[in-house]
Amino acid sequence: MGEQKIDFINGNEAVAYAVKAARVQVVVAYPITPQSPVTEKLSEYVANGELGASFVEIEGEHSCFAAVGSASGTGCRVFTATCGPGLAYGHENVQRMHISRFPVVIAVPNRALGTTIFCDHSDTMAEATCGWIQLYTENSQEVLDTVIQAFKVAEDHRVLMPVMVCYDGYVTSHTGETIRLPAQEDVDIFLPPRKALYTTDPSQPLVTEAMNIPVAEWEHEQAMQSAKAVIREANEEYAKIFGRIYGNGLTERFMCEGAEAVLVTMSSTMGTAREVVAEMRSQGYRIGLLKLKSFRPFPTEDFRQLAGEVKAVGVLERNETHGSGCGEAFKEVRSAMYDASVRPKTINFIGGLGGSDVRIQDVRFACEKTLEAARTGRVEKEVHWLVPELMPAERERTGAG
Amino acid sequence: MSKEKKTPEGVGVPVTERQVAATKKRISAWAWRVFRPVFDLGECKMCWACYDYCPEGVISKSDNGPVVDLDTCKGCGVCATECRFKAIKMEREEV
Amino acid sequence: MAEEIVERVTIAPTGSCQGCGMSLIARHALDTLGKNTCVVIPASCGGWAGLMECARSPTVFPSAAAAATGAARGFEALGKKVNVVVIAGDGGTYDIGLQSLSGAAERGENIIWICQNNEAYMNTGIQRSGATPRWAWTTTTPVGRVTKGKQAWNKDMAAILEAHGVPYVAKASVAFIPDYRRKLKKAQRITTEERRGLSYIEVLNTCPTGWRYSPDQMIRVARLAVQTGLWPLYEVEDGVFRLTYRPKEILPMAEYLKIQGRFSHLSEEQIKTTQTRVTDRWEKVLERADAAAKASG
Repeated sequence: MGEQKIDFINGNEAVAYAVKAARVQVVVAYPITPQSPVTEKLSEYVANGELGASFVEIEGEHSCFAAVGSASGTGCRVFTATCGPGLAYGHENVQRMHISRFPVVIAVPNRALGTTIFCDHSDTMAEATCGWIQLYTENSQEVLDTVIQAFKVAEDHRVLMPVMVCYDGYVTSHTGETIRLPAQEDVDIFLPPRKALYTTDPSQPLVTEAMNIPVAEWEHEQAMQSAKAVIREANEEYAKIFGRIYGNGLTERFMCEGAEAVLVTMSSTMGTAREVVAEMRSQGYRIGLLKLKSFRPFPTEDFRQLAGEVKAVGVLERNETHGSGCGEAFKEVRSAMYDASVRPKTINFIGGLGGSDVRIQDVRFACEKTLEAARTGRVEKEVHWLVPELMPAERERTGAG
Repeated sequence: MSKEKKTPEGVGVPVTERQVAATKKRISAWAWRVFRPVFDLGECKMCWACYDYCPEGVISKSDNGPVVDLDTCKGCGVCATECRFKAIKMEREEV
Repeated sequence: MAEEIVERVTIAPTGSCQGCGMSLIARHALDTLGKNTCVVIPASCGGWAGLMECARSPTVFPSAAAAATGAARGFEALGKKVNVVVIAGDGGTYDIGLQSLSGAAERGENIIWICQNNEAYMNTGIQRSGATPRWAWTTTTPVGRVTKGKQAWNKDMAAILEAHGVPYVAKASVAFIPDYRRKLKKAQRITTEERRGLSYIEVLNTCPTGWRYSPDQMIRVARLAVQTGLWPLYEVEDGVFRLTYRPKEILPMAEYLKIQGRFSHLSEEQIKTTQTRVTDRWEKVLERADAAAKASG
């Protein structure tokens, strides 16, 4: 195995490195905060001849997705990055990307939809019905590793579905971390050149649009389900070469042995949550932590298994769907555990919206409430908004509300 | 075609001769055309304006003059209008 | 007489109306450019152009130029020389497709753009577009008691593309097939062979269904558009203007307008205003042609 150089870079630079290492052939991008440094770095690589890709400085995100889709159609490995309003602007093309089954990998430094540039998951949650594999990463190392794995997953003939690799905008994208950079020769072994199943090459004219034929839509679902095994395989194979493994690729457990309650969370919040759970464990609380990495395909089997092991599951997430009363992950987790012979209690914690921080005390609150539900067998409040103005302890302390 | 499906449903379908033939048969213009072009090869000077201007391109060239594919001719009448030598007339189809 | 078609790419029948100009535009385009082509067709009557023995890359309505960009860059990255052609309507060129087309033109993408302009959103039921002429009836600019037809003049997309500095802009007509095919060959040389950027060819698609006249008159109406000076046949190659057809006499606009049902409500005043505008523009075209001829010596 080649030497993995150690460097101090942020999430955006990590993504750019991964794209270079993956030998992407066409990069299409439009700038949007906080993604811009990714495309700036990639254009630097291209300008210096370090990445032999065709770089398209497209004029908007709607066009961006059209261009990556058709470039993938010719048989190339392609990449783009966007987030927030940019992802929303591209929605028309995002929602139909899976129809032609051309593999596409994108990176999304999650940014809230709305008028802020800071992080929450409303952008990618809004695309969760669009037939994309969605993987949420915790830190810069994981986003680097996951982007490389994403190409392998997307291009696998059992999958051929587009992939979104998500990481928290500003929190991960702009925070420097000590990273191990995979050596190019090892990435080449893990990720050989793409073998396209079919292309838009005129020498073999094909019909490449399935036009929403119902049986084709069924096949897309089969592909999504097959992706679970492919993601797990990629995770394991990567670990053999590079020495880093992320749970089973779909979820990752932390201190769940003998837990009576488990908190589920995603993305960078995991970093904070690990600290809290480790401390609470040392204080004797039987609390565990589960990282939900693959939101699509949803790891139903992992949650069915969890349901048989614990008495309460808390879900802490950075999104909320107005009118549904709760967040998206909460619904999915509950639904996955519905058929368990004994259903655990479930509680939703909405935090980190619009770029607000998910603080140590917020995670602690979530863990305590989940443990309470496990012990009492009752949930006094199903959905807690971790917004300072609304939290009882804060209100008491500040005398507000 | 092999029994084993190599590509996802609805995608990767070759444009084969069979598909073309099936397309022509399915929407044969004989079913609905109102007027049909009739060629007077004696008047025809083989200028091929009809060949150029036929929107569908169903007129092909032979040594004797134009030949029209009546399976696909829509009977629009452009060829008859454009023929300078009055070698094409539009006749009503029999019901 | 037209040159021999080397290989037939389009396969009849198409799903278009009788006497459709788009079918003619598409078949001559693809038969001239050949099978080594990847075509992108956004929502339009062009979607009914039928089976083609060449590649076709899908797109949504606003993205034709972006989808073509991806295809062009992709084939290039793989070392393949392929004609990347867009056959778009006026909606997909002038209106909803304008942004991505402008971006592709400015970036110098190697795309041959053929706009089959039938002056409205014909495919969806004859709604007005930025290409619809002033006072024309459409289903969204109907002739009522208060307003009669479209109130605004239409855009000149060819001039807009010229302003982008692309290497080739041309106007062509279904009534002048050898001229059209020659322009296609030129676009192929400049864009596919020499890779110098986007070529734009706009062909007036004199649609009998939307313009309200009998299908067998389709070529005649197209010829009149050119002979009235309304639709000059020209090309601008690397900024050098050339008029490719000079009518011996200019016919009055009234002859062109009166055949078409979509203009049947026009007053004499409106016909006169239209005539003045067309005459002014034609005179400017002649000035430009003469100046260019002089400059080339």
